[in-house]
Amino acid sequence: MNKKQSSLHKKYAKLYAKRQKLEKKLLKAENKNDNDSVLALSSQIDNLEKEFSEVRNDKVRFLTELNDQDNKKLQTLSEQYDVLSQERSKWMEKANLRIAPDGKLKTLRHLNKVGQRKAQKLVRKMIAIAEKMQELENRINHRNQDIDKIKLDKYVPLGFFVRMIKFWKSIPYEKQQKIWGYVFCLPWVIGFLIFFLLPISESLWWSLNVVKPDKGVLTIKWNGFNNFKSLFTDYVDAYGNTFANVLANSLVSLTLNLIVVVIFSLIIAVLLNTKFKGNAFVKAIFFIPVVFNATAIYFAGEGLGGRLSSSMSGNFTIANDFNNLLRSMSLPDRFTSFLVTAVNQIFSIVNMSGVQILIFLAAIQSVPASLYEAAKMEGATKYEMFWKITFPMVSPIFLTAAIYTIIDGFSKSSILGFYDIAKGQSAYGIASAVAVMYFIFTLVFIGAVYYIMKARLFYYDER
Amino acid sequence: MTKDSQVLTNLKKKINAIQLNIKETIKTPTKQRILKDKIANFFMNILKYVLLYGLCFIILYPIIQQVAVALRLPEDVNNPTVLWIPETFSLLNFRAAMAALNYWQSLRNTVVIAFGVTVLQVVVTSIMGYALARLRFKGRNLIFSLVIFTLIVPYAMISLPAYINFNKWGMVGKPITLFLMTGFGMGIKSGVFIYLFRQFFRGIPEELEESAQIDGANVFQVFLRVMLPNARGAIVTVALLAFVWQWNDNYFSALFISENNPNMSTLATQLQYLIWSIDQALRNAGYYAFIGQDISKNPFFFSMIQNAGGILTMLPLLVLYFFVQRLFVEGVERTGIVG
Repeated sequence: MNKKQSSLHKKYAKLYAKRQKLEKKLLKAENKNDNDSVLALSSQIDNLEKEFSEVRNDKVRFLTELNDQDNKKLQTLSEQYDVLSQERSKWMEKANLRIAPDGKLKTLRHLNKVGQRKAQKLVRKMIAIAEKMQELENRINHRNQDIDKIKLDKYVPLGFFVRMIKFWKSIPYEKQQKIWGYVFCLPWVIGFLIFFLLPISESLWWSLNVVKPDKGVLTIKWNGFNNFKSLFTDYVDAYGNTFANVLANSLVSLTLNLIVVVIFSLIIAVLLNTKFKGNAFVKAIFFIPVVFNATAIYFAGEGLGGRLSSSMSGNFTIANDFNNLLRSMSLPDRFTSFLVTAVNQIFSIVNMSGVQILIFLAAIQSVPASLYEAAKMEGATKYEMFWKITFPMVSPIFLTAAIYTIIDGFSKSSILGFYDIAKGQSAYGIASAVAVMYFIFTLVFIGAVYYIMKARLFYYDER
Repeated sequence: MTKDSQVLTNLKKKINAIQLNIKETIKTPTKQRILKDKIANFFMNILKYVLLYGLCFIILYPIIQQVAVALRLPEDVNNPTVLWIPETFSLLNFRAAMAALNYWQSLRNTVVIAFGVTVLQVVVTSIMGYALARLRFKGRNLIFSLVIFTLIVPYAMISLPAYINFNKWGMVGKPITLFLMTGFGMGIKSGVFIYLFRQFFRGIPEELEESAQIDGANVFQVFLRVMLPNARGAIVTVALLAFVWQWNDNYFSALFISENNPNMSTLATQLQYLIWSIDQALRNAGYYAFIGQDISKNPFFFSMIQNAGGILTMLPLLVLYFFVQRLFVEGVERTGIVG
């Protein structure tokens, strides 16, 4: 059907275009008073007209055929509709019953309920059928218009794109939204499959195999869980720690960092949100760690093994200067070392919490000001306002900030040392095993944090 | 005498009255509270200023120190009198660092890669964020949870197989690897940006969209003409973060590009090998014999050049940051990153 329709349309469009060309030529010729060519062209047009009228008749016949079919469909649909409406009226009678056939209230109620339900269902069906009928009627009307135009030779065939656009516009907005949604997500989904799911599944597979690159070709041999076993027993990082040790250490340091960073960034965000002198300046400075790559410089400091050792990276931290200062004040050693580590920690914490401060600042500013005004009217102090308004309103963000901190902390974790070692030995299976362990570790950690926080902190419902 | 005594007694009475007044005012609970509040506020203010400006100092200190050290003359390495301001300013360290970083070429590479990646990130993640925020289609929630999932998975899971796949496709050593990954929404922390845009678009009132619909705009037009112009803050934030993270990235850039094609290496990856390259160059030139062990074995000698390299790497970023800083802060504050 569709093929026939499109071929007919193509024929029609071709002939129409040809005729138009010829008519234009004819006009030109008439303007030039070129009688010979006028005669030739008009005879050509007459010939074409014969063909064209045939095609037109074909098209009209075809369209009327389609219309007849649709009319039949319409009839059946309207019959269905009538049947449904009759059924519905029956059910409605039951729903509107006032006296039950057996005189009991229970059965009456039951009948009313069932009748209403059934009637509603039927109404839904009827609406669907009515919509279909409307569509069909529209189509038939459209075709009738086209037939009239073709009979009067006023029908202009539309190009492919115009027809597509017309078709597109005829789709209701909700469906369009669906289609656009898929179109917008398509690149991401492709990327997800090729650059995410494929590598991850390969990593999972490799972690259970012995994988060695051999002249550009990977040889893969089944190894079961031996990779994980040897990872825990044979491997030692640059400082002589076993894998289990490093895992435990990073767990402890991550937990500490998580708590400190989240609380610290909340405090700083609250302070930054207040009015004080040099607000813009301080804000600008506080976001430098977001831009400034401290790690690149620290990484560079680790180079050259024995020659530079650790003395170099130590020489340029604040802690060292601070240490010298305190020593010169002849304070007790234990005290100075405590202070020095504290300052050093502050430095690293400030560097870690740039984005978290941003997150909290945005959250605090999205708290409606009317709440604070109302609290002020009631005579609340700033302290109370913080605990009763800011904290609960911001609490859902704790999870966001915490997860960001965890992810960020993991990407700098010392577990990656094992990964580099295994990769350096081109033992890809073991490297994948490290990655998988690392992934599981992250997942468990985030899951635990999510579980703990979700119970404690989600007072305010999400939109 | 009597006059004086009278004046005195009057004064005493007045003073007593004032004291009584003060006592009474303090006794009333509301005024007491106000006084307390004022005192607490005063101390909080002091604490605030000390904390904020102190932290500012802690952030700025290493940068200032880097500049000071980098400007020092190499011979002043062992000079204990030079602490902050160099005795003789010299750009020798910068020259050495520039040579070791292969500065102009690496800068060009970094800018090209970071710029391309930024544009792709903004385009892809804004479209995704809009689709996830406003368009209702089946599987939307599934896709959003997958986006969050991509954030949780560490790079180590992806990098090695991805590298081998790229090697198979003959793309390793070319920036197209990074462009492809970001173009298909798998760039550095793309998930964060998608999340950010989604939250932002959810904050824009729906009436705006509906009025555009009634005027006959289709979904793409609504996105392009109505939503994007309102998302300036989010765009600035995402663009800056994408640019900076790509600029500082030495994981993917090193693995996919510069380890296989030194001509395409970026500043961040060059900085990583700065010391090795200096050491190698000096050894090859026989420079060590010339300067003597007391200087060359001093760790300061390398860290000066390294500091200069760090400054050279970060300088363009800092300049950029101070240009867009105000927009960035405003953008973040209005984005409502959170939801």
